[in-house]
Amino acid sequence: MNGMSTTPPPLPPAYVAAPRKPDRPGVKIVLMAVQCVVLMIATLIVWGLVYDRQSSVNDVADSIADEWGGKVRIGGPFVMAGDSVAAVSRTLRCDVSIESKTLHRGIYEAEVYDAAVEMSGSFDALRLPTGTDDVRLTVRVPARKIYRIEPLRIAGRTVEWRRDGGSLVADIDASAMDDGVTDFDFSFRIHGSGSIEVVQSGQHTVVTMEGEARNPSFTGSSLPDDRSVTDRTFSAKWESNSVMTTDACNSFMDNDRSILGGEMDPEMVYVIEEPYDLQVIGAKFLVGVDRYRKVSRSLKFAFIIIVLTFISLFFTEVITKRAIPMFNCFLIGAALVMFYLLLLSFVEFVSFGMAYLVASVMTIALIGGYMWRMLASVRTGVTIASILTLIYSCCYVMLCLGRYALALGSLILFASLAAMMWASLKLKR
Amino acid sequence: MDTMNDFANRPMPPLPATKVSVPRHTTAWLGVQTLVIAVFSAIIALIADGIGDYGAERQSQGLLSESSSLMVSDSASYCFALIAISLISITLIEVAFRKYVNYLQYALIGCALGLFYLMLLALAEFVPFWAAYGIVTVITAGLITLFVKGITANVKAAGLTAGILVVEYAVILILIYIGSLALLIGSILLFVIIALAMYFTLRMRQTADGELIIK
Repeated sequence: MNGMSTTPPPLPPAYVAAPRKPDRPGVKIVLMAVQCVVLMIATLIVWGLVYDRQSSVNDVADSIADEWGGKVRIGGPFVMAGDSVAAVSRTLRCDVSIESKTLHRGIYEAEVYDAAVEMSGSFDALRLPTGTDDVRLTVRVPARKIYRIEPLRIAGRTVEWRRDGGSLVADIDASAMDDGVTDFDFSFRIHGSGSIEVVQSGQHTVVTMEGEARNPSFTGSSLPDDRSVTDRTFSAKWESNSVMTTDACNSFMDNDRSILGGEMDPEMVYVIEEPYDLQVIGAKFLVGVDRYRKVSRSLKFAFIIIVLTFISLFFTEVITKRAIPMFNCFLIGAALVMFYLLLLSFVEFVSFGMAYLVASVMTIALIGGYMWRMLASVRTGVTIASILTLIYSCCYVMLCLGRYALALGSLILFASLAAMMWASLKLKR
Repeated sequence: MDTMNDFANRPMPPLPATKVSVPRHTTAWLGVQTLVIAVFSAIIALIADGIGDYGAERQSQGLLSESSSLMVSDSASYCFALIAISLISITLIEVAFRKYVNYLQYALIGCALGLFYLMLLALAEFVPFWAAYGIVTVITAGLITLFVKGITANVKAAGLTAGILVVEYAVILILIYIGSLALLIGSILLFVIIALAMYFTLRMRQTADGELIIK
């Protein structure tokens, strides 16, 4: 300003668009790192939202599944004399075949199953205290959820079952079992969800499970001896030679009496003390939808996506020699975080792949268009859009591959590092 | 200052008759402004969250119906987005209309937006939720509109503020009532808002002295 003259200073210059000089690269990089931290906090908030939705949807799924049938645990058969266990089976074979199906209620869904259970085995000759006439064969199972049942065949006779709270009971003629080995077999079909478990109650127990289920996992005191899990089907086989003590059987029967009979008060919290030598094996299934799991897994790539995008922006600025203001960078980062929110909201209505496609196309179009208008260059817009497309498709592939994800991910990181090195060689002062 | 030092041994020139304009709306200012707004919004969102919890307490005392209490805490969960968007729009209005709004005034506007939830809670004890929401929206939007008109002395700026506030509150009311679709519509709206913000940054230009203008 020529303030020394007596003439008044000139009016402020007319507002004309002035090209911005790029900031110093060092300052830029530090500011971008700070923005990355802020955006990661935003990503964390989105992750919390995913978690909230997941748990509320799983709660609904649990309540849908509970109406169908809850966890199933099959214990027995035991020969009961009076109130105590008189005998456990010598051999026991239990074949479970699972058929899963999906129940829908509004946008919520739950995965449940029908299980066909066939049990067979044998008892040793019974040595009952004399004068005991109340002898029963008892199987602990959520009897109310059984929808088809074949009568018990034991020692050549057929006995009808009756349901007694949380168990199936058949009155047997003890005198028929006095001599030698007594064979038995029966089968039933039951509704359930979440898990199915079998107590290895025989002295020699073989349990097989097969059927179709998503993501089964095996639980219990021992892992299966043979197992195979494919995309939709699974099969497993357990074999054990264990002697379940009569004490353990008795305490198991006492403990389970109220729990598995469906007589629980849902408001109460039950502490179940299991006998320590109770051998239970089984399979667990997911009840709720696992699409949220995919969203939260894809959130793990958020950091890498944001960093790679910011690096591309940095190089765009250097190569085109046009400034990208930090605020614009931040908006681009915000759009990258928005991708996850869009993904989360779409995934509730369409499949994960479709949701990923729509959300990524929206985000890439927005950012590509923004870069095009900002730098007034179609080429830059298309370049940024194709870089983003590459990043998003790589992330999708990594999400779906599972096993090869780590190898592919590290290769991609290596390639992008090499690209950065190559680009930084082109930087000239 | 350099110019002044160079001519230090000369007689002091008379002060200029008109003030030389110092650029105020610079990019650095916009950055600081965004940060300050984020902090204001976070603080008031925390308080609004507390008001939502207080609603649950009033409900347990039997003063408030359960659905109203849920809706108050639902609406309080949108507090951060609402305050951030409102204050950013006022910043853009400030730039577009070339007026100055200081931080005290921003804080007061933020407080008015936070007080919304307390008034909503208080009124919801006497009238149905939607009626309480409508009344409180009119009161809050009216107050802020008058305040902005007082600050900027510009009817258009005040009208724009009123429009933005009413649209925001209406959208949140709809989001509260539609329930299961809220996340979908909310996230698409946020996407649109980011696109709008991008659009405004494209329309923003700098003058030779660093002042931001919106074309």
